[in-house]
Amino acid sequence: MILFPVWFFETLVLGGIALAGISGALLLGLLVRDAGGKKIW
Amino acid sequence: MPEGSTVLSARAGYALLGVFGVMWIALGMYWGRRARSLDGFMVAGRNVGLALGTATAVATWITSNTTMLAPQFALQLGVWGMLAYSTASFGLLLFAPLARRIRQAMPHGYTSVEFIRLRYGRAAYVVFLIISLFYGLTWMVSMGMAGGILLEALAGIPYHYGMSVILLVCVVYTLFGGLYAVIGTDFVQSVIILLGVVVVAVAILSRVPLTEVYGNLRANRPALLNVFFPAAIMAVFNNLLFGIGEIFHSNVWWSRAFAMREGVGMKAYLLAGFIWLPIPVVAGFLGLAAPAIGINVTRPDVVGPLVAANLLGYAGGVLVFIVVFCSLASSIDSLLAATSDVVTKEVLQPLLMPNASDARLRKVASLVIVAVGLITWAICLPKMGTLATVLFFAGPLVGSTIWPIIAGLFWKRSNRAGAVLAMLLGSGVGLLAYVQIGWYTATLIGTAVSFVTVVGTTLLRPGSFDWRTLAAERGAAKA
Repeated sequence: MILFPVWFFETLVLGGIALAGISGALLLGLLVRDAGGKKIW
Repeated sequence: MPEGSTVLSARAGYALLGVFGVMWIALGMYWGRRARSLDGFMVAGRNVGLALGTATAVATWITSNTTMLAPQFALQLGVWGMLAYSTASFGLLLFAPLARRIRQAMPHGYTSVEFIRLRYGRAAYVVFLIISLFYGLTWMVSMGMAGGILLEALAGIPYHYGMSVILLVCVVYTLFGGLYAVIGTDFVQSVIILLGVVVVAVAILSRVPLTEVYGNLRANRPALLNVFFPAAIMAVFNNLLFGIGEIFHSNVWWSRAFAMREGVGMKAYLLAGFIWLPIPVVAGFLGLAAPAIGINVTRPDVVGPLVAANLLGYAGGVLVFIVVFCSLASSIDSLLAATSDVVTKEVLQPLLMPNASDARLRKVASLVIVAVGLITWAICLPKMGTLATVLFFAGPLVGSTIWPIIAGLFWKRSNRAGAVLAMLLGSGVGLLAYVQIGWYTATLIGTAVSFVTVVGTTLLRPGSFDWRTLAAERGAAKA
């Protein structure tokens, strides 16, 4: 049986967590940008 | 914490339910002040910007199934299970060009069913309507059940109470605010979910190193790390197509395409796809961490919350409770609004009130939201099956709609008979595969049959659709 290597597992999980964190910040940034241009709704 | 006990007292659970329930209703009513007209209520004034457009797609697609089924997937199918669930983001990514096309082709449109009716005629409309309503109801029931199960697992709130309160809260704010309320609350919910998931995952990592989780899996459950896990690899393709089918056909996503400002839809769906992509991986990690923590999992569908609660105690329980409540509300409200639009515009208007004014339709849509909420509640009462069983039954049905929709939007030669046949044959053969082979093949086979049918019938008997038919329609269905 060939197993996923530990580096793959670590990269997947840590990369996922980092991307999720960045995404939250990105959404807030987009809202601020839209609010500045009065383009929310 | 021993398996089976709760991490929150029932009193704390009721308090959280009350605080967040009141908050969603208040915010929904605040944003819903704009929803006076029919366009405001059903498509949020057709002027939604990039931030809210992106967030509403993310929040709606992060369902309770994402936060509860992804850990279950990982626990049963390992690393491939996490990756399989993540492929559902391809639905959002691939819908991006469709969103642009939909907004341009139907500037006055309201629903996906309306598109099928105009593009392929009455027979396709009937088949598509049945699939849409069945899927919408299945999705809502699976989330109503998930809500009841979660509150029971975390706080000991009886299933029927928890499920009822969650449905009631969503019905109330959607009823008052329509799509404005749904999209506004979706933004807050998406940010809470993203931050909550990250906090839980980081907190778990600080207690159990990743190498320990990996080492435990390697020693005790190596199949979960197997690069060649046939059933799991099959699940990747099945989930990918299921996700695409869900998004391409459902009015939940079409109503957002209609609601976003011209030029926003494509960017919003692309961004949403990338933002959604890591969520099942992070949630799935909770499932894979379970063996390392020594949790005896007797209920796979609540393994995520159990892991968080075991490691983080009371705070973990509260956080998971909030995240799952947000993921439930952000999807149930969208389904209530989108299903109400379909029933009002594509069933009730043509059958009972062809000349109804927009003001009357606005009132009817509100009543339909209440009715859909009540039907969902009644179906949830018996607490049947597991979440996966309920959800994946709809897979081949929605998979069969993928190609009729793509061809309908971009290929003028695709014809009516081909679309009807594709949906019927795809659904039928897919369901047969579901019963005879397994759930993980049903969508794959249903979509393949639908593809062959659409392409074959179009090449055999090419049609010639006039795209102006779509643009001219102002949403008034004809009997």
